[in-house]
Amino acid sequence: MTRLYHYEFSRLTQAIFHYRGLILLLSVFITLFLGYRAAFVEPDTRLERLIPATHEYVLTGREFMREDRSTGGSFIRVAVASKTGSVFDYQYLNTLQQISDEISLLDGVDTAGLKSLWSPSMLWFAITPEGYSSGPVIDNSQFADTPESRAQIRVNTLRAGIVGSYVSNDFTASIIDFQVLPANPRTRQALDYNAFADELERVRSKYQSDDLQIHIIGDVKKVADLVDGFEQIALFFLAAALITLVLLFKYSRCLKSTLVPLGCSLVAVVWQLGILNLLGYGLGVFSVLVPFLVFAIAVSHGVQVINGVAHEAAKGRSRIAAAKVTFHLLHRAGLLALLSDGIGFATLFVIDIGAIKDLAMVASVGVALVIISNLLLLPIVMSYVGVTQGCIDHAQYKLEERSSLWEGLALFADPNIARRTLVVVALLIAGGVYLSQDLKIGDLDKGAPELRADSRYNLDNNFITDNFSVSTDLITIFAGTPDEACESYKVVDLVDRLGWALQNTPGVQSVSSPAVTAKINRYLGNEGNLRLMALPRDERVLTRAMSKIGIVTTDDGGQCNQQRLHIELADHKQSTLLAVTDTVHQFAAEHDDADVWFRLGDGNAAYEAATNEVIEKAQNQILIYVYSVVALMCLLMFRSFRAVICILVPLALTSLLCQALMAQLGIGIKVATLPVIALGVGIGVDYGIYIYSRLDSYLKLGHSMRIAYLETLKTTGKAVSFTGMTLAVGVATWIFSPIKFQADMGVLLTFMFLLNMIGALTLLPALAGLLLRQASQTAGAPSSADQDGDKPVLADAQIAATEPPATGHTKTLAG
Amino acid sequence: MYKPVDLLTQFSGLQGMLWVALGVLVLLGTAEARTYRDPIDLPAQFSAAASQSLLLDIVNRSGRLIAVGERGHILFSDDQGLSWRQAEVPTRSHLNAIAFSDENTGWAVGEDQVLLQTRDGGLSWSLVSDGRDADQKGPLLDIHFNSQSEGFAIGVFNKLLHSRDGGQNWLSWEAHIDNLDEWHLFAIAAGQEGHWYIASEMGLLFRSVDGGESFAPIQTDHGGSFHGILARPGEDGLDRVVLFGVGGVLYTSVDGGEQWKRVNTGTETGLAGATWLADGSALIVGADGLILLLNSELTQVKQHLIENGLPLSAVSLTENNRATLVGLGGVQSLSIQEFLP
Repeated sequence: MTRLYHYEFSRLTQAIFHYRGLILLLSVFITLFLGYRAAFVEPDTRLERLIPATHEYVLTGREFMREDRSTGGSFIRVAVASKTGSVFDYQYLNTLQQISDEISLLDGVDTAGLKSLWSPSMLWFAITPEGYSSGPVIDNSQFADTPESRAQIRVNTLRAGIVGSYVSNDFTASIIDFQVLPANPRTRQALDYNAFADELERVRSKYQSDDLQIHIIGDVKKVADLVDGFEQIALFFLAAALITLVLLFKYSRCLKSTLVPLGCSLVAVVWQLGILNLLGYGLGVFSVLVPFLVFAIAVSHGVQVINGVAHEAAKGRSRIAAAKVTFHLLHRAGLLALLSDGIGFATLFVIDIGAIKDLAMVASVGVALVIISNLLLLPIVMSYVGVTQGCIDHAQYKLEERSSLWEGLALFADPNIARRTLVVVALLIAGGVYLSQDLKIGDLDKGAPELRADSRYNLDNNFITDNFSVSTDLITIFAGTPDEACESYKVVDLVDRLGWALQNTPGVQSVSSPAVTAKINRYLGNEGNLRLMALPRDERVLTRAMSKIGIVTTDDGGQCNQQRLHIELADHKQSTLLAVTDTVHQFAAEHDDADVWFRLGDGNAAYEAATNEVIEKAQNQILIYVYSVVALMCLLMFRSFRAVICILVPLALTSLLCQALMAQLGIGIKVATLPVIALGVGIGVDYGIYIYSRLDSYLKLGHSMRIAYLETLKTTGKAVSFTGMTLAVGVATWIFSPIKFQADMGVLLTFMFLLNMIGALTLLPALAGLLLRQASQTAGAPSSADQDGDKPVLADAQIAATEPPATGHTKTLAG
Repeated sequence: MYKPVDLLTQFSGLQGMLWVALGVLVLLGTAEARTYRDPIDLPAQFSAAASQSLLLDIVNRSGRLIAVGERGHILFSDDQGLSWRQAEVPTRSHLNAIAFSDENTGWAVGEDQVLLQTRDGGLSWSLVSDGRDADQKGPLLDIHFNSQSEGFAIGVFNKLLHSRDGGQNWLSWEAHIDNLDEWHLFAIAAGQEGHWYIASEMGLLFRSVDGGESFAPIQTDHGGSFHGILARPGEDGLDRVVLFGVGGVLYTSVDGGEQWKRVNTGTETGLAGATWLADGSALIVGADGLILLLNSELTQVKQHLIENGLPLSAVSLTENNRATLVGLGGVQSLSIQEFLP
């Protein structure tokens, strides 16, 4: 047995292992308590958390809409499509009536507002010599299975002007729409949206047949589908845990070394969830993935710890000594890495979107807990349970094994190979810059971007937007005026002109505004004479025209200080949104004055535009902050700019290539993918820090770069490659998620985990090989015979005899 | 050598005043940009959506189709309606009707009593007059010339303008029409030399048989509004007149308006515009995308509904038995082959 190196432990280390029993006991109690609280964590599906709360559009929207927010109902559209006939068929209309009746009886439906071809409020208008004539589209008393009845309903439908809105453009489908009230008006009990969506599904399966297709869209349905997807996240978590378990066991060949780090990692997750609940938070739409990330980070550090413990035990140290030495050797690097992670995640706080702030908070808390669970608790537990002889043998065998992989990788530290590596890196950077040019902001797909393009919901959405002239991407634009001045000819004329400018903007499907209403009402009021479908010049006539037939209700609580334009968009691509916002901003710049001013806006597409603006701005901020934090931490730890470069360049390359990948896969930068940049850097920096600190310590002992790196690979490198692979496999399962953003995150995180690992194993030593060699040459490193790497590889025994001291300030004593 | 003091001397005397004036003009110019301008004074915008905007009248002048509509839109097509271009129009007023007094001289009228003229066959237009200072600001609804010199423009509240010099001068002609109640004048048509017919409200039309010197009311047995009218001289020397409007009401006369016969249209849909076919039959369009073919005896109609069901305002014939329709959805082309015997 080789002579064991004797460490002088810091007071912290001494104290921790002195009180290890107490700490363990305390942890058990905390785990029990927080585990209990964790059981009460609820998913937080509030859609407003996805909106940038202080963006100009959102604030303007809130200011102008203050009166109308109280209703809070959510709109649902059900399209009933006949595969074989038309909506005027007797059989179809009968079934439509049954479906509509059944839906109106569901709990939560605002029955009075439900509209279908059958509703009494679905009226047609005609202008007759006597004035208006009007009636329901389907007259119950005359409804029969006759050609006359069919023809009459067809004419009524045309006269009602509902082709495109309630009847599809080809007359083969019609829509039932209604509001779902957030609370039962009688019992005041909050509606269970998921249960409601289940009821809708029941109606769908009851009436759907080969001849009849039913399509349902609306936020309630979308969120319910998302929640269904979330339930599977638990499965993904389980899958990841199992994969980690299997790989960990294969790696360590030791049940104890497998279960303890896994357990400690789970403790971090349990504490995280428990603390979330204690703080009164739920798991947000994006944060729901964070426990997995925390678990992944925890495992990554846990592997370093058990790796160290096994090696120390292999050298013949006792359980407690092995754990103590491992803690002593790793805690500084581990702490640095985790603090970098945590602060890196915390930089996401600068993005003013609730869901991202939640994610930043949850992730930072989680990482802080990993410091306790895996840097502190794990060595303590290992000091009790120790490792099995099999594990020690395996570690010993692995350490002594001559691996062609490690020796191959070690070549990267060779200056010649390193230079070639840098050439390859330069090419990759050029390629990355070129390919990431197409990187887009925002959602690039139609329908609900949170769900997959081929999900039921999005197929339904496609059906409805393809066959009806209705849209689910809406923007409201406000024209503010002084009090009692919203009905002047000038204001309404400018509203009309902006409407026309928008109608000429690509992607705008329809515009409705008080100007349109005034024209229609003047047309109707003049016996259907199209020549009078113009804004009346006389302001008394204009006021009347805007308020007639109850089409316009007061938008502003009777103060007459605003008008609204409602526009429907073909999609919510960033180009469409920008075209609209540009049109409005330009119009406002040309026309705003003391009488009228135009402002954006409300509606989901306006919020999407606001979100994109925030994200576009934040995109570079986040990168700058994350890299600044990580660079600063590395600088503080290693006191060397060369170290910062060695650790950061591989990360930066990964970030760049990740953007190129996003551009190529058509994944836009959005609320779901922006955090990935910070998360990727945060996790990637661990690898760099562990490898660099071990490499640095070997170099300080005077080994040649290549030898030092080979030894680093055999110890830390092994752990890094193992964690990189394990995490990548775990995250890769997300690619199969029914939730689009989880799948997107899965692709990107897998890519980043793998590339960060490869970068840390190849580019880092190449950079170190070039930079540190120069450093040692100029600074005059401790004179050692094998300085230039031309000496034969050291025997393992020699390495073991010359124990690396912990990096930092521990004094080295002769053993 | 340049001396700084020169700068000061530059700002004295005439030169200095010119500089100041220029500065003021620039300031006014920037202020002008923010000042609200009335749609009458704003040139019509060119836009891709113009051919789908609300269009109200259309003429076929020697093969060129010209349509007018909302926002000062005047569109023309030299390929029978396949492609449309926008004319240069100095106003964004809502334009209701168009007519030509000769080959190249045309007229358009609309909201705010704007009157526009073209001298180049409809490619570019100038604003002749508008009614912003008039007591009664209602729109002009129709205009018609029966010769190079003789034309009328009509509008709401008995608005009646007359020109005898090809549009050089327009005279208020209300004194020449027996319409004390000031019923709206919706549409005007000319029959044989000197005969004019004006469609009005309350089942009324006005007729002149003396070259427009005097218009006398004719009361049909109907009480509603007539939004459109067609007239042409018959082979027997008597005018054929078609009168139609709200509620699908259609009256015809084969004796220059002496006797009127109500034709059963089978619809209550409002009728808005019409055109004669070569054989003496007529094509009438209206709301709900309705098209009626009135036979040459003016006694029976055949019905057709176009798919989109949008209200139509006017129709013009094009080559190959096609018709170009204008209305709420802009321009559209339709084969009328199936209507013909």
